Amino acid sequence: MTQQLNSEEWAVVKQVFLAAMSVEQGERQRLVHEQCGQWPHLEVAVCTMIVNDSATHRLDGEPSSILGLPGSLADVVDGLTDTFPLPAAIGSYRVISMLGEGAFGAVYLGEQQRPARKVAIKLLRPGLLSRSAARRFAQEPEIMARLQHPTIARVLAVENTSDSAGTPYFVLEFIDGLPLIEHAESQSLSLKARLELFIEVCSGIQHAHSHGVMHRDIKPGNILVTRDGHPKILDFGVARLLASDIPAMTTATAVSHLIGTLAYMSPEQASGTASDVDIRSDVYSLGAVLYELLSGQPPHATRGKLPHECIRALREDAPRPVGQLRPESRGDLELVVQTAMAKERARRYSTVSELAADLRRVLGNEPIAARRPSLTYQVGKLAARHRPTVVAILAAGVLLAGAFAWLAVSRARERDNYRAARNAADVLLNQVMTRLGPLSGTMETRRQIIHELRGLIERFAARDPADNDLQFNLARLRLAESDIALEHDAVSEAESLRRNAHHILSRLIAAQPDNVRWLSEWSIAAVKVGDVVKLRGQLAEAQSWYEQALQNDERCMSLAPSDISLIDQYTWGFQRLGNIEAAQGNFRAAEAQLLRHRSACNSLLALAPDRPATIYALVSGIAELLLVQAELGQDQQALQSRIELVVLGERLLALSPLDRGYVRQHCMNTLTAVGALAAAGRMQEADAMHQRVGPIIDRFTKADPESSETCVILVARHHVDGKLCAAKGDLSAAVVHHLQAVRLLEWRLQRTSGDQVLARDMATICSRAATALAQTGQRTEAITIYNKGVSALRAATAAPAARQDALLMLGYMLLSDEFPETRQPAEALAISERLGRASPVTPAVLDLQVRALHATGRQSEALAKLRALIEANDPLNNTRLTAWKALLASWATHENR
Amino acid sequence: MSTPIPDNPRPAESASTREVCGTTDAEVVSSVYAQLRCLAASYFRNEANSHTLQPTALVHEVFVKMAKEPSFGSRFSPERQAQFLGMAAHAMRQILVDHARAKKAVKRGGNNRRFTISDTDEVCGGSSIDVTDLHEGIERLSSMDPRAARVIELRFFAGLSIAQTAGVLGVSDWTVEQDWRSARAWLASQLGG
Repeated sequence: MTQQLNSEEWAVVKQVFLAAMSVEQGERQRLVHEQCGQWPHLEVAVCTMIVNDSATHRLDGEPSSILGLPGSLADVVDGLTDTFPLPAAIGSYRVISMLGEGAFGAVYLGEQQRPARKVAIKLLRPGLLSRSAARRFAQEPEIMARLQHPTIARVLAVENTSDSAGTPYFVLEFIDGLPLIEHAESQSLSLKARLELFIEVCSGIQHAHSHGVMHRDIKPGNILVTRDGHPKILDFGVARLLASDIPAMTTATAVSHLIGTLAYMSPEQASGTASDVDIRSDVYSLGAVLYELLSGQPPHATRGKLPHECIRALREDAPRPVGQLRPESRGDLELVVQTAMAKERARRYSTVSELAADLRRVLGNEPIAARRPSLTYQVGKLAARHRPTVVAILAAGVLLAGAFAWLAVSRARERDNYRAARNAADVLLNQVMTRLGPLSGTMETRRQIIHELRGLIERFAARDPADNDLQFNLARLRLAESDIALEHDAVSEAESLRRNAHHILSRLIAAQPDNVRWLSEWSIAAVKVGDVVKLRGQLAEAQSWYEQALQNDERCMSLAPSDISLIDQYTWGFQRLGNIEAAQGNFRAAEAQLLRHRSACNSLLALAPDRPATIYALVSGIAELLLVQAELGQDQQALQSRIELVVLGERLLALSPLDRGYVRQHCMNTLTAVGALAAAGRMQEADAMHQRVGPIIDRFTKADPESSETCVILVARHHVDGKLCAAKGDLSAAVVHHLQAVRLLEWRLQRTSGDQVLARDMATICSRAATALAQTGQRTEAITIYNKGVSALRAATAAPAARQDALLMLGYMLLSDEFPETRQPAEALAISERLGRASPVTPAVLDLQVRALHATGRQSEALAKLRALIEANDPLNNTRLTAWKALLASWATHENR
Repeated sequence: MSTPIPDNPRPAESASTREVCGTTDAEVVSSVYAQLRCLAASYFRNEANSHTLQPTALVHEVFVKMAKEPSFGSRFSPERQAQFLGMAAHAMRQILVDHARAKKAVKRGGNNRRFTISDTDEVCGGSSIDVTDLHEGIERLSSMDPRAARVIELRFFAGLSIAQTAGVLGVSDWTVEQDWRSARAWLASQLGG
């Protein structure tokens, strides 16, 4: 409340104020009224001053601070001091000045020597990335560096500082320009000019999309316009690099991925389900930017609002039509903006180029493609709210701090008004605590948020121990803390936190057995306890936790049948159980669970057809099922599953074309399926599938030729090509492919020694190559290559923590019938014994043991063991059984000769 | 929290320093300003080893430095000293405001063509005093009551006690106290709102 008084008025006010302060508190009101009652505005001024004066005196009469406001000069200065010092250089770049700073890190203006140019260096704060994120960070940078487009500010390099902290930093093209809106204003651009500028921006974004990169953080501040009027888009992919993974553990604890300002964020981004965010999210953000470019205001006002208000507005409120704010844009242009910013993705432009195309039509006065939604539709339902809102955590980190400050102030003002403070806290907490889950954002920010929240909640809980909502929030807080503890490998701390949370929730649901929200959180807690117990190796106990969670989820679903997130949670439950049964070697049970998972996912897809999250879950489950089927010897079903995986993968890519994780997985799945089809003699299908995946692989590998992912896929492709050639009888071509694969793998292994999976792949390829070479008569080369594979495996499995599959492979390779020159029976036996000591002992291990025994001359033992196995074995396990019987027969015959 | 200011800087004894050496008041002012600014800047960049900038100490530092300067020594009569302090406090206020404005401009990616980090990357300072608001408040106060504004400035930005402020302004302690109390209450009602 600002007031302007002239000096006479002030003189009066001052005098009355001072007079009032010299009398008793009870007298003041009267005195003030007497002396200046005839000037009400002055009376108000004096009274306000009196209020502000008494708030600043201590009991001994001394004022508590010079200004009577919280904070001293030192605090002011602290607030102004840069939190980041200005280094002289970062890496090989000389630092000139600081351009900006924030909680994220700081941006410096730097100078590169060769070539000589100015760069911007974005130095991330140490501790920003968790260990796993930092690892991924190291693998991904080249993607960004290869986005070359005149509209995209290039990432020139991503490096790490040379000190022990090894902090990552981006080196970016320095753009000397104004942010988009300021530029448009300063140049007083016409509507036409603005649209043309915007269309240029779209072309950049479209380019990135076609290369599989989403921006995720489009807003006017990220688009600078250079002096010659060309836009440059900043901060591409930074958001992606810092987003956490979709947790393998539970989908229900959704990850909030984002790093944008709320005003330009799409509703699904604000809801925070990673797998639901696709390029249409960028379309929305572009729409929001267009809105502001046309009208001068952002579509949703966020300044001064609390996070939950912003998100609610984002999801529910329609922004004022642009035509009202800028009359020239009435009609078609308004419609374009509305279409881009439709709350439901299906109603938006599905690509940026469509948006740009419609804008060009507007400029050319042609009819646009977007359609006004029908009245029925408008009156009808909006998308049901599937998930509770998740606050953008980095944004929340900041706005939260503001909100806390607000709370603190309101608490101070309403002195003894606990209720008011509590209400404010409730509103804030409910919004923030909904799906707190694994938070993304700096480690420090997360800890701070959690720390402050914990203090707040515990204080309130102490005052109101019977308040269930507080207890609920406390439980979720514990779960969030436990996630952080796990990231620091503090497993026992994580466990006790999770058990505590579970205990609290158990009490709560005992009191209200039908509270779906609590029940669902109880399940999450149970799963998390199971996860951490599993880490300790106690698989059976983990399983019982998962089973409890599953039962509970069924209950939840029956109480709230239309809540898709609950159904999600439920289906993941089956996969979890399947996974843990398989881990204990109970393949039959695993198969049963995974089949249930598959049918549950398929039912869900029938309900909500194009949901990437569900398809992803299905893909993941079938991949597990496949392993189990292979283990059970069900080769036919395994092949079917492989084919199913490919079909699903194609579906997934059609919905979410950009996720490199999906693409890679799909390529690998397809190549494996092609190989399996070829092996089963289904050549036509193999070829057809191979054709379809070719362009996808090409695009993927060309985007990033040097990465390990690319290498893996290229190797797999050569491998499969080799198989196909061999199946068609072209052995020399097959050999070429195999050798090429070997070469690639060798190169890879040199750079990452000790990688067992790689070694195992190497061995597989080597043995195939050897077979092919032998078939073309080059036996010596064949043996050499074969032995290469063996040595790779030997080296990799030398360590105590060797993988079962790698050891198995080595064992088998040492008992080769095809290349008897390479046999090492004693070593194979030792390996089989080593495997026998570990658990679980699978049929494959037993098989190896039997064969190794036989090969080292202990035939009678081998026979006896084999007989016992045949008798003891599961009569439904046909393939393995048949093979063993055949083996027995051949050995027995041999013996009898 | 107030820094002890020497009551009576002794003019240097040597003959040469008794010379009037032609430095004008404007030069003194700009020299003081430049020195303060330079020192403050290094603190803001966090280059100095001591962590928090104490503006009051800064003022004292510059004062002492200048008092040692032979060319200025003769000018530091008590009246000059008072002027100097008033000027330094005012300069300090200006410097802090300038810095705060520059920071805000940087964050919003405003007119100075700066590289923006996301608007959400706000650094939340500990103080709830916005120095630009305070600056405006003091400006408005000075149009209503110039002496009270100077009292606030001297006490807050130069850290003077009531007695010292009285000395600088040439009024009684009681006047300073009245001015201060009313000005403070008014500012608080404008800013705290």
